[in-house]
Amino acid sequence: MDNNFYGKSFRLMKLFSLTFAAGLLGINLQAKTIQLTMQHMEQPPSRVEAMQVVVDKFNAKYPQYRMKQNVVGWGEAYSRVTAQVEAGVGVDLQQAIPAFFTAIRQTGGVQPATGVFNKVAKEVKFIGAYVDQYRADGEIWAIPAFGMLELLMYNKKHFEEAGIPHPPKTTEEVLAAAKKLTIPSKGQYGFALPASDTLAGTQSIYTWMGAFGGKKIFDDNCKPIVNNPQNVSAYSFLKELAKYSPPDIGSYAWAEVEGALVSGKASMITFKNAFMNSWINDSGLTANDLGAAPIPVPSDGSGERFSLSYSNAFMVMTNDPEKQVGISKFMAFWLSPEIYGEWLGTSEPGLFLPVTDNAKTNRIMFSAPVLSKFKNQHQMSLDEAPYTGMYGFMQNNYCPAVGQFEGQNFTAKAMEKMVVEDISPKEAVQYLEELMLNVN
Amino acid sequence: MFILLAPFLWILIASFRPNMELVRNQTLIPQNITLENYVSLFAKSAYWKWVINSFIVSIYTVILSLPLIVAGAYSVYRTQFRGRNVLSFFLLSVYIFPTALLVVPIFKIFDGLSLIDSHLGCALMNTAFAVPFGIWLLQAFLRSLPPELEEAAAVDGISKTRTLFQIIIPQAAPGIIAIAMFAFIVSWTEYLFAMTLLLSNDLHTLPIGLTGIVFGQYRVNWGFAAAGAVGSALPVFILFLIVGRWFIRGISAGAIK
Amino acid sequence: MTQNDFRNSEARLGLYLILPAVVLVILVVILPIISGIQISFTSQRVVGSEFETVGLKNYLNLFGDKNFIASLGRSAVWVIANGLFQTVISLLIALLINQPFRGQNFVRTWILLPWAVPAAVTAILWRWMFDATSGIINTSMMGLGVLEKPLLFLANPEIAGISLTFVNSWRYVPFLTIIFLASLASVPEEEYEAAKVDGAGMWLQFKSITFPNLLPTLTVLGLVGTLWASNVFDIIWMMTRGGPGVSTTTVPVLMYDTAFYGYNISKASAGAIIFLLLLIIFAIVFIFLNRKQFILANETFKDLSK
Repeated sequence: MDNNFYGKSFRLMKLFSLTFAAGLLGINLQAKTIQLTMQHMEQPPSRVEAMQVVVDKFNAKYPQYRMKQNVVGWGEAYSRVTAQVEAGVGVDLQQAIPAFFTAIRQTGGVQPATGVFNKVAKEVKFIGAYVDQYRADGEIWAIPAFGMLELLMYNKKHFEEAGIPHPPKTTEEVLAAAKKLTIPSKGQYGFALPASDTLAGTQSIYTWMGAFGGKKIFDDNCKPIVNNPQNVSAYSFLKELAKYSPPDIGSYAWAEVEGALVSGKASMITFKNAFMNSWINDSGLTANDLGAAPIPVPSDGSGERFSLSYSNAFMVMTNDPEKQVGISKFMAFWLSPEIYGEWLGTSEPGLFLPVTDNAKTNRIMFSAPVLSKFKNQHQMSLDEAPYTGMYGFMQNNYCPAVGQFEGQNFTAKAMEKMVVEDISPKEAVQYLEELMLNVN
Repeated sequence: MFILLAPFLWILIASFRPNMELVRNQTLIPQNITLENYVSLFAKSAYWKWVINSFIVSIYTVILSLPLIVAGAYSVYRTQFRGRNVLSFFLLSVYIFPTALLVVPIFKIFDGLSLIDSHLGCALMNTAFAVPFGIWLLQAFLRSLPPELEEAAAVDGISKTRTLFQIIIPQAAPGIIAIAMFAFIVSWTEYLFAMTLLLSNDLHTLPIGLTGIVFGQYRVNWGFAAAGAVGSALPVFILFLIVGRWFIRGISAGAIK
Repeated sequence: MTQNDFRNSEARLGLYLILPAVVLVILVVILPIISGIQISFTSQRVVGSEFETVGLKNYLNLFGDKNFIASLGRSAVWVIANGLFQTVISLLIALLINQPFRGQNFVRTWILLPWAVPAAVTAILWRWMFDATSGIINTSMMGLGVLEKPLLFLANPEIAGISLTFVNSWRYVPFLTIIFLASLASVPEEEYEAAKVDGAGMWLQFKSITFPNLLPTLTVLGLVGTLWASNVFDIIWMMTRGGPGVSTTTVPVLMYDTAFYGYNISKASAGAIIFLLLLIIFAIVFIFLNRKQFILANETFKDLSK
């Protein structure tokens, strides 16, 4: 009897311990899956899908990690991210553009990413200009993921019809062409310049300021240096250009500007080369009719080859070392030639530019279905990339006032004032300086 | 009235036209009819997921709101207690502060309640915005009802609660249904809190989905936007047609004696 | 035992019935407002960033801020314009639809639809319709010869506010109409019949029967509608972003811009609190002037509880 009893209980105990150990093992194995959350603002479905492709492939290749993508709109991004930081709730990898980064950094939630960056940089060759926008205080604060820049986009058919043989190379040619192409009775205007208090306005105007030589808005002490003759010339140019634009440009945002070119309402715009899909679907013309040219410069050489560009990067929001390793693996994976090339080609053809310098990536990107039709235009973006910059990041020190410069559309406000109240370009530039000085 | 309906008609027509036409000067009569906008909406976007999510949140909202509204209206209208007036006005403070500035504190509070990234959290917000007005409106309705019914009931010795359920609520039916519709639509079109509180894409509601496509950065497709407008209104239209039959029966039946 | 005393079961019932709503409101609005008040006394720029307490400095700055004062004025104009326009139109439509006619049921449901569309979609579609060169409104009015040059609905500072008022009304009139319809429905038929027998015309019927019965509803709408209208933000922001210039920058728009694009949350909170106080003052005055309508639980029922 005793034997049996002890035997039984011994066997029971063995069973228990084995189950327990297996359970522990199971839990352990489970616990080894590290959850990662990336949050970005690229809402359009094609971009979400393309991102999901990357995420799924990553999760498959690295089963110890589970990456999830969350999307938030640009309008709500700031609220949500600051709220998440306040509450300490999980977002590990957060998309940013330079001005957004300066704001979020002040919440204290952004971790120095130099370590993560270095790990990624071992596997991927970054284009320096895109990294520089996120250097501050001896650290790197975000991992670049893709770039964007502005070009002069134009309707080749219109140019043919008006007998203009080549796209404008100088700002004087822009005005001349715009004048010739403005035929109000046809509902056609030479240019569609957003003169509105929006980001579209800010960026388009700054692009021209840069072309005229005014790309630096702060000196190294963060003092505004916009009151100069180059900017006066730029604003004078813009005032003239506004005459050859549709009458309601005062309310134009990105959508209307793009719509103007695609519908034939305007012959030229400054824009990111981002609308390959809508050109094909809605313009009634072929891919070859879409022209792209570098931003023209003043003929007297007082300007420079320039365009606005910015680096979209991902900030590291977690200080968990295991998660940080996972993040570095993810970024390295995403930026690897096959994955990155495919993503660049399909997510939003033409809009996203590679932050890496890799021939294979570019080759794959160019072979994507829609993009391959716009090879020349896209190549131009790549060619211009080294000659670009971002307002407020062209000086040696980091100037937080760039947040308001962008957020409250100072350049656009000055333009609006000039057009609506008919003040002189000189006064407009003075007003711009005032706005920058009165940042409070 | 025409002015009210005409834009909607225009939008409806526009949803059947290819975007190429809509980007230029439009003629009143479409030159091309196409279903491509609806294909993009119903087949190529996550429309159905969004609609279902919106339905869930809106139904939760109505379920949460109605009891609160009816209870509150009855309390304000028919009972007396110290501080009743103050409390009923206090409820209106929901409308007094810009919602955009509520977002960050709410996020923190809801995080403490584990209501982040949940449909219930959104429904709770919507309820908070629907209830005060609902209470006020319902009590206004109740006051315009003839008092004889209640007096008769009281004389007959029927308890307050029974009076509430068997006499007052049926009488106030048109008003209650209007308020339910109100709560539903407040929830159906709500964007700000949904976008902030719902982190996971799978939980996203219709306004989030549509805004993302329509305002999503640079591209704009007016035909799609028009289809989106129809796609937002259609489920509500169908729902209310069904519910509306009761509404209309309530109106035409008038005061039930 | 007095009527209001909580030992009275009716009083307790009343309190319990309203308590859930009160708790919800405290949770969702009062707590955040308290947080907002705290922030308004600091110099915090970005939520979570470092700050120091500066007392009333934000408030004093705002009183001297021309932009802020101007936006208060614009808010006032906005509220009055929207309130009047929407109330009158909705009432007219409700009265019209209330008469039986063919297709009535269908129309009643259909007019709800503008309200069921999310603000962003509404905004973008109206921007398109208002477009100067390709928008349907301009093209059709010019085609009919009503207009010679296109109207810059959203780009002209003088009419942008009117355009927005129109769009905002387009969204809310359906709802208000439903409310008025429900309210009209509760007016007993006999009163109208008696009046008709007495030979009263339409206007007299309206004045002596319809209007008094609508008064409770109208009063509530007056109070709540004002609060709503003053905080309208989404449609303005998405259509003009407060522009052109600052012509459509009402207080909520300015506060949003200050908080999220000017990166100054403390100043925005202070502005919101000032606005809130003004609205409270308005509410108190309004309630006082209309106190007859606001007397709750009329005396006629007092004796029934005995």
